[in-house]
Amino acid sequence: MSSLLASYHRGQIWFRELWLDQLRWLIPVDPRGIVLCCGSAVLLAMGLVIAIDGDSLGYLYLGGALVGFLFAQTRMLPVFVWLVFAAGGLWAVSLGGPAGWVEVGYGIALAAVSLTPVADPDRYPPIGSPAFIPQPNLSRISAAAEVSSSTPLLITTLGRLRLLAGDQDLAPALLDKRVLGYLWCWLLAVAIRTPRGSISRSELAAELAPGSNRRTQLERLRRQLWDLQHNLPRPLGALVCAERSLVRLDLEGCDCDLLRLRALLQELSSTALPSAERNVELQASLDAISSERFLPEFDDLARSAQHSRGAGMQAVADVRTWAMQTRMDAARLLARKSRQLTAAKE
Amino acid sequence: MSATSLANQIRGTLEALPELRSLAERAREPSAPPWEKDACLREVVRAYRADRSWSPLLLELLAPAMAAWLAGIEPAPPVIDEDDVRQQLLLEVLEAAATMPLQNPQFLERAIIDRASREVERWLFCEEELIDITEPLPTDDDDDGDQEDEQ
Repeated sequence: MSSLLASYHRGQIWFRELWLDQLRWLIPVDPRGIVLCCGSAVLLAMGLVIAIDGDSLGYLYLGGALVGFLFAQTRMLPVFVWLVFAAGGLWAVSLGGPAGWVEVGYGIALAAVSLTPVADPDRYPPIGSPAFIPQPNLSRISAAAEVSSSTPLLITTLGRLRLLAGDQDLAPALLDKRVLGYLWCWLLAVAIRTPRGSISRSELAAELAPGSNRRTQLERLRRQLWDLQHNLPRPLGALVCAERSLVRLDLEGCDCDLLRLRALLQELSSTALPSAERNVELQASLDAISSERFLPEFDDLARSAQHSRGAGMQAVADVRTWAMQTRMDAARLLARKSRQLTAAKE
Repeated sequence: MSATSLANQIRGTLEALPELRSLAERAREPSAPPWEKDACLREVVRAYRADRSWSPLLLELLAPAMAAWLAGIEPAPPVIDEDDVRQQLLLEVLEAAATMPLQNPQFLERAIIDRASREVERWLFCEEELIDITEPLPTDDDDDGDQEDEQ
């Protein structure tokens, strides 16, 4: 009995994986796919009628319908199938059946549809994707999700991560979700390192599901991006910009310690000599920026999300080195300006 | 005292961390005046205080000064050999960097090395005193020999 139950569960899991990885991708949701699927249905009906009448040509139609349906999301094979169908019509015309012109027109029209580009899976995700069946937000952060997205965010990355929206720290809610936290922090590291820095979807997808096929990777990525935008507290989700091929964090309007450090270095890099008071202020600003490690929680987060050797770790390590280098450059420039001010005074 | 082995030891650690190597090269830029190097070192010391993983970078920056000091020091064999002195110096340098006041960023390298070397010298002195105390007393044969020599 238990072996029966076990094989039933195995079968269930196998079917679910088959459905997620293969079958649902066959159900068309884009206009091109729907038209071609309908065409295949007509071909199937014609094939059945002809086969039932006892003509073996019906099996050719049935085969064409099957191929047309299975390969609807490709270009050349459906074109070939429908051109063969149109050629069949021409053959019927040449045998003296003027009704064959209908078949020719039908075949050519569907061949033309097959020639149009295949739909982008990001724009038309398959059935069962979160975009179609939004999951209710049952997470512990639902209360935090009520924070308005317009609240300016104060991001402290050096030392302990703090994401202050008003009085509320959203960091615990983010770090509670291992994979989402890992992705968000990785995006944060890239956005800090390079202004408007982004990560390609393919890189993110490969990181999330290494070793899986491309479809599964993209599907998982789509789910995670949807979760990033909708299942995190609003100010955090609102920062995530998922573009066609890139994903990035928009830190415009956020107050971030490392962005302040970058601005400080930019001010110091200008050739103009600041006043003595301003130089003291800049030194105080540099001293006020913590020297602690950038995102110390990230190592544990990556480990628990099983990405400790991933590209995210490398991005965070890059920011740690960059922060140190920026601090050293700023300190050096401050020392130089201070010396120049002293020399000018003398 | 082998100063090159200290440099090699620190360099070996840094070779495994290429991102730190570029930082060290930047901080030690030969054309930079001393006050700018001091400012860089101060930032590294501050970072080390907050996050001990910066210790390879700090030691790399202080390695030339440490090597120069080691060249003039004698170990106290058989208890204390070169490796022990080197190890003690590294510990004292890290201790000094972690605890000494940072108000005046000028001559920071000198200040750290002075403080660390003072501690190492004190440690060596204590060990030598201990050796004097625990050294075996002269045997009777040695005493006779000495008396004969005197005669």
